[in-house]
Amino acid sequence: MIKRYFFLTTLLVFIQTKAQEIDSLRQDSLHYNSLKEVVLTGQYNRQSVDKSVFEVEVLSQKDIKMLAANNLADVLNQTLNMNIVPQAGEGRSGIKQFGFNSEYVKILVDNVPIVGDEGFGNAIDISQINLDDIEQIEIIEGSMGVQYGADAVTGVVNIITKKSGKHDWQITPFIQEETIGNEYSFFDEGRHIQSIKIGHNFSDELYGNILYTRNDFQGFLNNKKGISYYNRARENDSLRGYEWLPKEQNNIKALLNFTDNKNFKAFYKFEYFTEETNKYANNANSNYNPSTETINPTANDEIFTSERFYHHLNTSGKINEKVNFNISAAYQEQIKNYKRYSYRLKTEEKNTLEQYDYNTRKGFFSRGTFNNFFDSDKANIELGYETTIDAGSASGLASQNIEQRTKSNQLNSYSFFASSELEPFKNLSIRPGARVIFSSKFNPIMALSLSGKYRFKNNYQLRAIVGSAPKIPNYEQLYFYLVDSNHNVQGNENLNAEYGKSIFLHLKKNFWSKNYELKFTPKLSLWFLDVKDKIDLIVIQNAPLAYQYNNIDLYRTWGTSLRNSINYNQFTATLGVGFSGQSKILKSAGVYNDDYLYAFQINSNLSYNIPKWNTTFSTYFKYNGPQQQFFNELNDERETVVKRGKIEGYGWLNASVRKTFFDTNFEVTLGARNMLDITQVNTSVIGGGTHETSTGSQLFGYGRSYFIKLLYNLNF
Amino acid sequence: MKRQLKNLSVFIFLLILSSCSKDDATTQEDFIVAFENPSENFSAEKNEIVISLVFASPAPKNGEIKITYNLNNVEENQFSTNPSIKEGTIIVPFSENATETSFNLTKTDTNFSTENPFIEFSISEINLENAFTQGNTSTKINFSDVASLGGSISPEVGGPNEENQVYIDLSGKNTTQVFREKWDLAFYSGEEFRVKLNASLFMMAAPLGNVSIDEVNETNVESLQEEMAFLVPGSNEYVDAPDGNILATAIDEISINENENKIYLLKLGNKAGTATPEIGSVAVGGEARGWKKIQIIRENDEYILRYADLNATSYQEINIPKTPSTNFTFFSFNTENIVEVEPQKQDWDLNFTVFTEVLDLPEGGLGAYGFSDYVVTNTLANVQAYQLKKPEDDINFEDFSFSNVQEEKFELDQRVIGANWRDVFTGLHTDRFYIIKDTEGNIYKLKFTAFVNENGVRGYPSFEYELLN
Repeated sequence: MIKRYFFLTTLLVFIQTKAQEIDSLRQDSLHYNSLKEVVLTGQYNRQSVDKSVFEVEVLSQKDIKMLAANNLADVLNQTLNMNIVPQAGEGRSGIKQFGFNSEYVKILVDNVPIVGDEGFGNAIDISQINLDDIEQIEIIEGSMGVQYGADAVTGVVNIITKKSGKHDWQITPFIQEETIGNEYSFFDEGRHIQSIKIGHNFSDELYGNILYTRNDFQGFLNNKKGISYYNRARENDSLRGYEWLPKEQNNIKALLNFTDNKNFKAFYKFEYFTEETNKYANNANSNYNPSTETINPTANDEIFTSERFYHHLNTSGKINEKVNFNISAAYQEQIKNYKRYSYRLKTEEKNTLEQYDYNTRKGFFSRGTFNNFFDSDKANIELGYETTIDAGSASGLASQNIEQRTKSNQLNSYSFFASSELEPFKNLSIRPGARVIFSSKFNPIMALSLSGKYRFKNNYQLRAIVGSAPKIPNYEQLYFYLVDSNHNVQGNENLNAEYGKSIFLHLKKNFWSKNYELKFTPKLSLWFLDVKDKIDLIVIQNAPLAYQYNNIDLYRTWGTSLRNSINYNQFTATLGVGFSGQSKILKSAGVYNDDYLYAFQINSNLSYNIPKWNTTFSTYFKYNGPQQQFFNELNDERETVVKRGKIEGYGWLNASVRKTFFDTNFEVTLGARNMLDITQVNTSVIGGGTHETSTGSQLFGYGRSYFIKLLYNLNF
Repeated sequence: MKRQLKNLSVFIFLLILSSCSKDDATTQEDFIVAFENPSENFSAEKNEIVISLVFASPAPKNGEIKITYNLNNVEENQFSTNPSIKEGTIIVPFSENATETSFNLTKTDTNFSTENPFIEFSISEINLENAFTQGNTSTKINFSDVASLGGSISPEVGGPNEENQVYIDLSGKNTTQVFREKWDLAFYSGEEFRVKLNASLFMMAAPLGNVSIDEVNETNVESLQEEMAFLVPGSNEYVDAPDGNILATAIDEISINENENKIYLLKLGNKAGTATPEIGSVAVGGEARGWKKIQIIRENDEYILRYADLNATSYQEINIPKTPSTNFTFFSFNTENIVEVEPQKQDWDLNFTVFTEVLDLPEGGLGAYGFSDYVVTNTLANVQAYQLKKPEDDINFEDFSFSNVQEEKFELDQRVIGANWRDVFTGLHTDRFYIIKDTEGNIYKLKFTAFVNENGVRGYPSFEYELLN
């Protein structure tokens, strides 16, 4: 442990000495401004990264372009402290941040949480988030309950969309073709994307655009044999279907943006999204007829169809040329339908067996902030409100009785929040904040935060951010019901919210070379985050045995990271190293081990631009070090013992070349994803039988894939 | 500008091209016809047999099947068929989209040879393209009572509620369904005086201390009731030995001395389920059926059952005689009378039922647990069985013949098939089959062919079997 600290400190000192000669003044230089990043997340008003009290990480449009990212998963898999967790068998992708799943990370588009399976901004399938109209992606780590309310426990991902165009008309079609591992054909294999975007400046004040994208993912077979396969020897070999479910997404987005070029701005953003995911049974029923010795295989296949609507109206400006306001109102709907049908393999007949509403959510969201009430350089106050009316239903909650499998619920919550940005001394800013959340279901919950930024004489910036956020229980925890003669497992409608708290420290400095050709920014971070009252199943009665969800566990995580970025002429590079540990106090389990389990991650990006050739080369690499996990096992004395298992480390390497032709009107991006060819990662975590530890593997990728993206800009 | 537009149109063409979709064709299927069963018997009371011909897929159009026959110790004038025989063949028609057809065979005489009289019918021709016969290409109709050659049986356990117990007679190729709630207690007809609980309803029985039956009520058994539940360590004490050993029932042997017979707290378990579960799940356990208190005593060679509701201060009494032709005499609290349940003890080999098993519990100890899709063998009538499973037993079902039978492997344990033939998550185990020695000493090989129906719904088992000796 001490060794590792030593290593990090040495590294930092080394970097510092190398950068000694770099001058760090002259911030008004042109070059500087061109590299300055502006952020929105957690800010009173849009401002530069350096001025922000929070530490905001930005994934730029260039990153999105170089990765040819077609959804959020493609970019976040390069981010430190995040892991993409593909659920290939469900056709979904979740994320883990600091080891917590998607229900603890809040995902926003233009500051508005997007509708997901478990609530607003929560449990989002990030493979559904299209990135074709994105300006940049901003990530804040840590509990952000004051700024973003419930479920912003481990952090916030805010996707900022583009809202203007330089030309009168901009017509931008593109196609993108990808192999899925080594599977590709024009129609039946691979990924095929078609998109067109039309933007128009109606006047100086009004800009509008419309975009359509179709993303046709034909699935990943790997060792499986597709839809028409059945085992002729009538054995269950689980070879039918796909390893990674095929799905098709269609996206329509539209935007109208108005600005009076003085004190008023407004935009309306619309999005319509559909997705169809096909889930094929891994084994067909052979329906053997012993009389004729023939089989007539049928398979129980499933289709999930999702639809999502997003309407967002935002206005911002100044009241009486003084008070800044920013008000958003959004209405969103997500409908997920389920259909199960029997598919007769020989005749290709489909016979619908059942069809029902799998998961639906409709809701209204509004958020308003007001600041700059008085003239002072030393103090600013922001007041805000947030309202969510969130009505949803979920199914799959009672497998033994279809009449009770779906439960509906409406959660209305009303929050008020206030914060103040104070500058008691030069170079020090402090921002205390509080939010109170009233809801139709839970007792009022408070979230508090205190952030501070100090700029040292030598231009080191130190930020300390303390925050908290509640996490609302999910449907399964509230309403699950499985009670029969053998089982008694029940949800608990009296659950309280889980509660997360975090402390982050960031130390950062921008180093500049004398001629401003070189910029070097190292950042050292240290954090602690815990979630108490974490919900899990516990035994509430021994005879007869009964389980219920309760607020019981405590998860803690701490870690440190060092992130560096270098810009030198046409060359940019980043290198990040993170090290973190997680401990779980699992009172729910009875027997547990709360030792910290440590893991490390590395990410790096190199990019080089050759202006003469209009060409940019780049590589992205992320290494997720081996992760340990505890699991329970029965020993020979039939006692439960806690064992340590390990998921092996794996690396994620992407590389691409982007070149423009015809006065930059035509863009070609050529690249490879997952160059280390990862599909399965070995794990010894899966609990085995009584006397054995079975080792298994987890699916993380679909192997080395190649893509080409052809984009045309027609501007006039 | 013009060039830009040209480029754009090329681009849009590419875009349209890459968004096209595919289509592909299906192939013409073969039409396969077979006899439904490889053999059938004329029993003493039967004069007519409907002989079914089944198709692997619906008939593509109208057609005819030509059937020929061979006689063995049967004379031409001893039987007739419909359609009738012309020039040594029977022409059986079928219509488009039909999945089966049949013809009738009538016995017109009563004096048959004692030397194995039978007729063997064979399919000789089907007048459609791509049509042929496969599997049961012939069927043997016996005019004496001989063991069935086998075939396929789909016991009607009742779908995902599995409300029926289905008794199977392999040699007679016969099934008998009984609603699970029809009976509660089974009084053994053999030498010993033993009483069995209805394990398909998850019943339990616990002996009470030195009390009189009228003193027992809800309040003085409360803590015991909590112990009498599935997955509670020690709950195995309250259920009958799952192996079928009649000497290890939850209720002790009934003593001739009246006061040695304890009062038992009886949990009546659960009604058969009625809810519709998700496809692939079962809902076998319904509403709880409550509690009773009982005492069983002996008088001469009869049982006397005393029973009452838990809080009652008086009891009912009924004499229950042994029934030598069946393993048990069955009693129902619903009718408060003796009810008919099992076929004659020689006339069943397997019983498909919901069942109460005993498991090793994860936290240690043993506990009772309910199973769906269970198959017990009639060990009380000496039915024995063993399982063959790959890779330990490296032989295919199709290749297994009488010479492969290993006599020493036969077990007298009613759980040999049990729930071993299926997995609730992955479905049918396709790597194993069973060898059964039935009540008459016939040896059959048996393999399960279905766990769910075509639509994936539970409670639709099927198996095929074949006589080996």
